[in-house]
Amino acid sequence: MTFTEHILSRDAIAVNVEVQDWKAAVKVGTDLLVAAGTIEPRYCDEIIRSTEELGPYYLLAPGLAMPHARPEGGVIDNSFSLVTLKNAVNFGDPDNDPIDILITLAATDAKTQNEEAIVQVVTIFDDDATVAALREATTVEQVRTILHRIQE
Amino acid sequence: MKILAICGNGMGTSLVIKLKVKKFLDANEIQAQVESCSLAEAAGYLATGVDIALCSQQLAGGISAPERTHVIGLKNLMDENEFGPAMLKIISENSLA
Repeated sequence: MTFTEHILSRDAIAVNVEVQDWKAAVKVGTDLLVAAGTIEPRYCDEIIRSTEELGPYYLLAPGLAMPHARPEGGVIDNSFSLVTLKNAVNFGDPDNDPIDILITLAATDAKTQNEEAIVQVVTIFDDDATVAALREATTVEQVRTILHRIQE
Repeated sequence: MKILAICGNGMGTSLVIKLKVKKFLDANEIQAQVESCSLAEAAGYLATGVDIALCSQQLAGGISAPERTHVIGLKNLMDENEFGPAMLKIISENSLA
């Protein structure tokens, strides 16, 4: 399954969300997947715990994070969610902070399962126009439209 | 030539690095075998003879690579300008391609 198929099929999107800090931002992303039934609620705690232990190992680029933990951290099914923040928050990495787009990743095993989806994540976030459009979107409907356009 | 992308838990971040590196190599018409793995698996992969290893800047210091392996630490994983020129330099200096 591609990234856009994952996101659109489960409606795992939250847009223009206001959060206090990075932990709240991570929880918005994992709450979408708890609601979709693809992770256990403890997956959020797992990400926060690993982040406190290892640093924010999932920051991909300035403004962009892909929070995830290991499969045994409570993953039920391979899935992704997409969150954009109204106010960017710091994760503690001056090279990439502040972050305002989060792609939460839940994977049942390493690597191959999600390669197709992560190929698309790389393609989407390599495209400055798409990233700018995602940042400007203020409703879930606008984000759905952007993702549908990518899918076609 | 063998290239390895390493991250903390081998689930996602190293895959992003691997894909970016593959794209860059294809664009430059350079042949290489590119793999990704977790930090815990890295020693095993490095023992098989890796020419270039890439990881996030934070991890770079913690990787005990053999002499033949050149380690590149990255800040922005999506920006090929961070690893591309360094990689081309290593490839040409060591006649890897």
